[in-house]
Amino acid sequence: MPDANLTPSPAPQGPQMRMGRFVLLFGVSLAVLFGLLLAPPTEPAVIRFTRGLVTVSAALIRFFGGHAVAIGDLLENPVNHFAIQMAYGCNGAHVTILLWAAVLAFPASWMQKAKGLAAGTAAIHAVNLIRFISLFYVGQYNRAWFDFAHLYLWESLMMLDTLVIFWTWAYFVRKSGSTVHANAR
Amino acid sequence: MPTPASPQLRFLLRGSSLLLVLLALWWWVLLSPMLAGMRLSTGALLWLLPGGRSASGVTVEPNGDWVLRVPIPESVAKQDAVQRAYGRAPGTPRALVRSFKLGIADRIPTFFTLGFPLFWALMLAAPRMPRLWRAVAGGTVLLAVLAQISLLLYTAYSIETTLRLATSALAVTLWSAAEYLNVNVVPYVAPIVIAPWLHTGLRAQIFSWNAASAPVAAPESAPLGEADKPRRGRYRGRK
Repeated sequence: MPDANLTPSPAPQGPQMRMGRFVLLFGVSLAVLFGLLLAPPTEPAVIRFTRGLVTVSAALIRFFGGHAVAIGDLLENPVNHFAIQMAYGCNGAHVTILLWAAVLAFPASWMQKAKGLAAGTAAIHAVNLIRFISLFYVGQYNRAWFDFAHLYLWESLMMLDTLVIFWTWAYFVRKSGSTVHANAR
Repeated sequence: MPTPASPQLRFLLRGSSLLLVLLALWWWVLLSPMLAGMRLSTGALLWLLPGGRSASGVTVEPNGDWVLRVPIPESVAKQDAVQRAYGRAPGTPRALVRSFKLGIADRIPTFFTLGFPLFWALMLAAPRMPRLWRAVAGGTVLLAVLAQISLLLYTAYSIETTLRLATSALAVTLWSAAEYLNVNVVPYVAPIVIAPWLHTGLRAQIFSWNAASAPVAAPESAPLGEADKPRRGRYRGRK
């Protein structure tokens, strides 16, 4: 960990200037990352990733004694043939991009950012797997509840989780003192 | 029940609980008046467009879907793409096009109001601050404006794809990207950007710029005393 004492200290940035820098970098990162997500060359990779998530979901359900098979991006119950599809926006990519943009814009060392991106992405996708599996069961129980949980409840909860994940990472970055170092660069 | 020590966990628990309550309130109580208000403002905006006084309006189908009558300016109505879409055969006189009737599924305007309960939950879950209600009201107005813009953008995109007004590949790609972000991203992302922006207490807790700029290193020659050493396992966020 670099020592703040060894770094020449230029004039410190004010909170407003740092906030402005964060907002600017956040906006640019968001635009670039969403541009990459929507670009046709990345589509096959996103589809493969989505299918991977469905396979993991099916394996988890079977591990806990449930009935599920993965058919491409469909998760199906072989007993009653109820199936749900993990669509393009349901694979956690949006919230992951949001987290990545915030982490990349926050003043921290590259190592801290790499740790934040890895841990944050893992946390988001763990929550997203819980979301997808819970929707699979809610859908078999009640279609109206499924629509509400799918479109409104879980999406909002994922946003809230993403904000908290970023806040937690920013808290640990500040605690380690690397924010000070990053600002002094 | 003991209060969670970590401000993040406290915020997550309070925010999730509030979100459940506010989503239920929104769904069962507030959604209908919100949609009625949005229909009214959309109707007023369409009326203000060129040609809107004679050909504009918003009606609701029995299944809840909206039907928008959008005035088409004469300059657009003259375009070949529009004329073809309205069935004009080559060599025949120009078709008179005054408006475009667009059906919108009721879940689309509903989506655009989803930001309200999430925004309120974030604001109320954050630490109390002076003039909280003013910030909540300001954010609510901002979200209402954003919802209206999103609906108009969706309307423009739907008309564009039906009439095929965009000719270049770049224009088509940009329209598609704008529509995707408008429907799938903005309604969810806007509240979590607006809430920390308006709630100074929440913003200070997340970013803590002042704390970050404070020097943390001790003089090299002065060893740390027992009392000054950072304590492991103790929550340091609490004053």
